Amino acid sequence: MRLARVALAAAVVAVTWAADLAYACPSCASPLEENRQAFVDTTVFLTIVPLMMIGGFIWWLRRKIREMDGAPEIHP
Amino acid sequence: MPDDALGLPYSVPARREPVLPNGVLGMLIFVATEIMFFSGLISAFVIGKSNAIGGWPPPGQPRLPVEETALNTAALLASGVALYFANRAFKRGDAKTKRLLLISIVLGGFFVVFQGAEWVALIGEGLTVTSGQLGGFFYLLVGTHALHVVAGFIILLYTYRKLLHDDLDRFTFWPAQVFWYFVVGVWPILYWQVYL
Repeated sequence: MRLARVALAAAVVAVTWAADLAYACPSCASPLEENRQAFVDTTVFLTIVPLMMIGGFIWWLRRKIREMDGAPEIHP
Repeated sequence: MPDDALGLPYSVPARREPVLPNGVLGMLIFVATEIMFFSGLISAFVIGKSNAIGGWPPPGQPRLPVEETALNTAALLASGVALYFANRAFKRGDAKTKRLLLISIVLGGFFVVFQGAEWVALIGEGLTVTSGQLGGFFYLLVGTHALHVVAGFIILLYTYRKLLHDDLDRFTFWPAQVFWYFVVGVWPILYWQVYL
């Protein structure tokens, strides 16, 4: 069991270490600095946007629920 | 047979007003997916632009009408502001709602017509979907947004019709606003990325 964990950790480290050699897309291997930067920027952008949307919605929902805690109940 | 006739304790669980009406929640989820869709398109455009050899916009391609579209951008933003005030008037039960909503619709219609005229001029100058990267990205990004504006325009017309028949409630008006604010809000980003 312990050996399996060590092997898994080693595999994760190896994959992380070798990731820069993968060149999974043409942009990663582009000779243009501007293009490489654009790729990094858009990756950050596309990562942050959904997290901000979900985080913002949860924050707003919590605030709204707290506001409504004292609201009168509706009986059907 | 009613429950209380059996002598069983009978109670109805108390409920609270929902935090968000279902229509608004549905529209918010839809808009979230749309934001990701446009984010993907804009990201593709940014990468494509940075990869262009010879600078951007590519040489030999027609220039986009920056100043004229700035006016159109102002019209769309004004439409969003008019809708915001229409909502405030609607909450107060003010008769101004009709006029403000109509202003919002007219400005939205102006945006669509102006953009149609712009497209006709650009196609006349040789900018088409297949003329190059600029044309391809331009019609994809701006065209997708234009489709959304047309959809939002139809939704606003529907709400206006309901308002005229005194049949408009906040459960219809609120989701319509969410969609229109999205359409208005995403445009300045597209304008900044594509035109400037």
